[in-house]
Amino acid sequence: MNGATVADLGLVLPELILTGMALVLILVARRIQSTSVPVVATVLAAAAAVAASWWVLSKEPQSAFGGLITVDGYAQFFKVLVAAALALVALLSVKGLEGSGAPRSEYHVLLLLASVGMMLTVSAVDMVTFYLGLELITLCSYILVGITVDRPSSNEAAIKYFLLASFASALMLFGISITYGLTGTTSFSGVAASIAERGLADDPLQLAALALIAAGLAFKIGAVPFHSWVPDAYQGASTPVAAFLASGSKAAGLAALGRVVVIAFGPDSPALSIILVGLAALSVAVGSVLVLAQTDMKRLLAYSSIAHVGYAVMGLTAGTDAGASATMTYAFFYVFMTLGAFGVVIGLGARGATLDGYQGLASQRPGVAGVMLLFLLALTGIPLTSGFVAKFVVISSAVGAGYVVLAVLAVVCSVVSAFVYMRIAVLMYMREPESPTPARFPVTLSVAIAIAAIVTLVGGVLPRLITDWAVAP
Amino acid sequence: MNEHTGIAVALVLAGVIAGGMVWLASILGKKNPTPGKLAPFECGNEPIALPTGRLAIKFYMTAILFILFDVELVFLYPWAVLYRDLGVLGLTEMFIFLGVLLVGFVYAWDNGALEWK
Amino acid sequence: MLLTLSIFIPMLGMVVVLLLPKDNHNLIRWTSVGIAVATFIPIVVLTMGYTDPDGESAADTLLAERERVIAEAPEAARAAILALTAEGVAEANDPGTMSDLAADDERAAHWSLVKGDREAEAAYHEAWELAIAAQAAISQNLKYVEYGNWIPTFNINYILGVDGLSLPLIFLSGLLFILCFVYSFNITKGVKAYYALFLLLETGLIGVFAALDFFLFYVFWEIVLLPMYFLIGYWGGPNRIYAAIKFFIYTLVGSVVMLVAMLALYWQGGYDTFNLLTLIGMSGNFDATFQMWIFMALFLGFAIKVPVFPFHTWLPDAHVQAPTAVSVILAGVLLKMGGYGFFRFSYTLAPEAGTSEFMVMFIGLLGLINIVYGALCAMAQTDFKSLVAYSSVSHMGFVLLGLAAFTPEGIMGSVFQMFSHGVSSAMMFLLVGVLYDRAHHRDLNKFGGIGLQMPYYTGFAIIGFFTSLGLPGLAGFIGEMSVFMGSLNAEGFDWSGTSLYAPLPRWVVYAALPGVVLTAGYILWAVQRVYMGEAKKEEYKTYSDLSGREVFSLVPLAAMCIVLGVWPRVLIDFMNPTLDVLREFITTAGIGG
Repeated sequence: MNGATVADLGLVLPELILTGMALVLILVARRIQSTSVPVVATVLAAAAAVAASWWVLSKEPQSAFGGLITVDGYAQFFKVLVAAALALVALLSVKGLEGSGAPRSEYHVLLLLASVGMMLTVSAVDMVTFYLGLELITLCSYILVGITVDRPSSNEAAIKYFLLASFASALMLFGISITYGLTGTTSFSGVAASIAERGLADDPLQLAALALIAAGLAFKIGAVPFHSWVPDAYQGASTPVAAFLASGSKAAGLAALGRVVVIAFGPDSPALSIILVGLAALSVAVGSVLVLAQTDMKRLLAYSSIAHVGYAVMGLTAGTDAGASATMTYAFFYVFMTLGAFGVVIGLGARGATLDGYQGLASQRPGVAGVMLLFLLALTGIPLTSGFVAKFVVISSAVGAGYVVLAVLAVVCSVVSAFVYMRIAVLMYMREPESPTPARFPVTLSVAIAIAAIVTLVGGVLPRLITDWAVAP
Repeated sequence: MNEHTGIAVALVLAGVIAGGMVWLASILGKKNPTPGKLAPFECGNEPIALPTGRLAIKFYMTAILFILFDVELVFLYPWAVLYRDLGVLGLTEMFIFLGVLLVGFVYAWDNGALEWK
Repeated sequence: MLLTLSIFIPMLGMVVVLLLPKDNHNLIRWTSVGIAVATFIPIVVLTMGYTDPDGESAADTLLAERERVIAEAPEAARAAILALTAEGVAEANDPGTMSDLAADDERAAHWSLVKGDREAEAAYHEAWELAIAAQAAISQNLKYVEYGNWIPTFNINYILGVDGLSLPLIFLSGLLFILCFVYSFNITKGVKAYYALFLLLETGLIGVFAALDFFLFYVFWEIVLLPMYFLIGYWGGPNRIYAAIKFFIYTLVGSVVMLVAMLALYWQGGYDTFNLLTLIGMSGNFDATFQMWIFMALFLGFAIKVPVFPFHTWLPDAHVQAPTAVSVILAGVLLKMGGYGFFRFSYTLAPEAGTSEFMVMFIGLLGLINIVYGALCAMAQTDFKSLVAYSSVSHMGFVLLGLAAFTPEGIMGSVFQMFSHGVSSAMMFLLVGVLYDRAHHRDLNKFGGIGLQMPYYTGFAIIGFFTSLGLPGLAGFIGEMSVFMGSLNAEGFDWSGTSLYAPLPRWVVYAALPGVVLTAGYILWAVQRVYMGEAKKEEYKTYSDLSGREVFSLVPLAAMCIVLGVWPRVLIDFMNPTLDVLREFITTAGIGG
């Protein structure tokens, strides 16, 4: 191997920790009776992974395994985010999988392995590693979506997701191979250099390859027009799995998109700008409008995640470093907002699955309603919440790059989606309850929701903690 | 000439010849179906079950496990060939690889995938 | 420090109120009143100290901050930054120009010491912002400026300051909140949440008037949205949810368009700043098309709040459905946010667009429509509160008319009208509320003879309604008269030396004059129907006159109506220096480039 040394293994310590824990859990799968062991193990592994990635970053940014992956601030930002999402989803799963008959150990193993895939994706600087990471996420996600085997909706969602995702992966692989064919290399920087040297920037075949890769990635993050799997998969899967898909895999996909855009194909490519602007505009518009008609909470959150991905991609359309770091900030705050909202949905159980279940919640459980209101305000983008900061930075970078119409579309769509978020607030606060008071949330769930709420509030008031950390690749 | 022209020509040619033969046979041959000719072939015996019957899942399990471990073997071959050049790192990584698959094997064993019932 | 206190005491108070036990209504009520009084005290101190000529002016504060920034900059770059941002030179040395500097330019030597070093560049940017801000014309009358870093990545700073335009409005807000809190003692459900939301609203409102950083202004503007939504939607009338959502969405649309304008200003010309004073100082460099876009975008945001026809349709619903105290704040303070926005933001950031022929006619016509259409709609109403709501629309039309005139009397009348309308409409809503508390309906045609039964109340009502009518001797007259005088004078005014080539034509004013008659019409008719004549229902004869709580709420407002009507100089002398400078700046900004 060119240039790979044993020390490189140390650079992938976070991934190794998660994989190690996954292997341990597989081995003891049939031997442990208590359901809390896998959860604790997962949370511990996530925490260790965060610590490991901080330690790894204390060394200089460098590429490992002969240029297959890189260890820099960008990768570390997302690794911490992925680990945090993993830990929070593990906490959410305690209540979320209650009564579903899903095998706990295997479930957590899959979460861990999917997170390994995410971490690999965000640090990949080579097409092959990037594809490998994405496939690892996808494979684990297929099983996670269908893991509650006794529910027909899960099975249906899993099959749908599997078929569509395989197709998308095939498209992406096709694009990667065309790029390899044209440029002779698979590393991102090599591709960029080769495109510049051989003048391939306007080559139709290269543009087709770019479009295919973008299509595959757009599918992964659930951007329009490749979004059709999102509502069905989220609705059919059990809620913690939906939360995981909505947070972790979107963050990884956005990170990968950022690297592909900034490093591989260069921010100056006009074709890439068109593709990104199109993705952003369509996702924001379609997501915001379709969310109005939803009555199922998971579907509602699915469409809202489509819209949010649109906003996040807007940061990349600018093609500047500030834009890429805006996308990073957006991904960070979005993960916590969404996990918090999903957490409340999980906590309310059957009542929380439909919109009507939130009626009168404020008079029965004011704390729950209050924290849900916080997440709804963040999703809308009201100041003093992290959601506003996130929207502000992406819209700012879009306006700075001259895409004023896109920015106006984005802000108008945020008002459109405000309507539905406020409708939930109205139901919670201004109507009389029709269902009995829901039970208290278990401690694990409350801790997870509390962490998400703290990040959302602090991010709104002192955003510089995150914006200063989000440095483009 | 493009490098791929030869392949394209071969594809077209093969398709035309094979397809043409089948097509010709279906046009030129006599059609005289009898119940005996139309029955599904079962090595001379009478068909005992509808082809839409269910298969035992154990066949699928065995096949999948075989594929997994066979591919593992496949990966061992190039490693074995380049063993010297890959050095200590290669050895370590190959052991990790085998270890991971061993864990998978233990899981399959524990969960009864190796039972033949 | 005092400004920050007056903004954040209500917010801290909200936390305190949230911690109180929710069944102890009296504790909650009196704590909230105490907090409102505690907020009002620094405001009064600020007001009294404003006219003191020895106080530190804004320019001094900003220049002192600039010294501090330079002192904290990296050693090597200090002298260079000092030279580049010195008075007189700073205008030409904006960050956009500096990054494109030619090598042989005389400033290149200085710039080379700054360039490349992130800290030095950040320090230069901040020092430049402060230098321009200190010399912006508006800064002359600003006082009590407070400055701090908030989000350095985006050059967002925590800047507060008040002048003769904003301080009266802050004073009005502080006072109205105390009166509303006392009046709201009759709320019985969800008392804790009610007062907590109201306190958050106070933070937002005072913050809006004091903020001098565009981002900070926007944050406070949005903070106002949410409490209003809940206050209308939970404690309001039968159709409250519709009214609340309508208000929320309408205002949100306006504010997000304002957000885009704000970002466009940030990125314009490479200035990269949200500091309002810096942007005003550099607004001469914005080209005409850009200014027009900015003006229209900001116009949308502020016009919805004023409210300007045709964006006024949220107002009747919100006012009628909201509980009395919320209506008071809505009419008394929220509507002024829009007017204030025009003065502070729209016209100063896009002066050429504002003084262009199109815009003068546009604003003038909208003012005319507001006055006349609002008055006609008010006349047609049968709900008392609805009538008062439309009268707000009508009175805010005067603000626009005076603004379009640009004469000294016009501008002065416009701002005076804002203040006096704040007082009079607040009073009118309180009066309607008093009646509603007893009758539980607001149908004008079913009332009659209230005056016989509640004489003291009718006395206050006469003061309040006649102020709104514009009776000489009461506050409303001064505003209306100044606006009319000012706008009639617009055509014959000596506009030489300004960029105003096409002043407001007289016919617009002539067309608006019937508005006065219509206003008199609907107010007198309403007063006659409700307070005069025979009581139409027996129960009207049993109503008790004003209670102590209601008297407490009405007396200060009535006093202000009379004082401002008889001795308006109290307010006019306070505002005039600021308004003169503002007017001067707006009308001459287009000259000389």
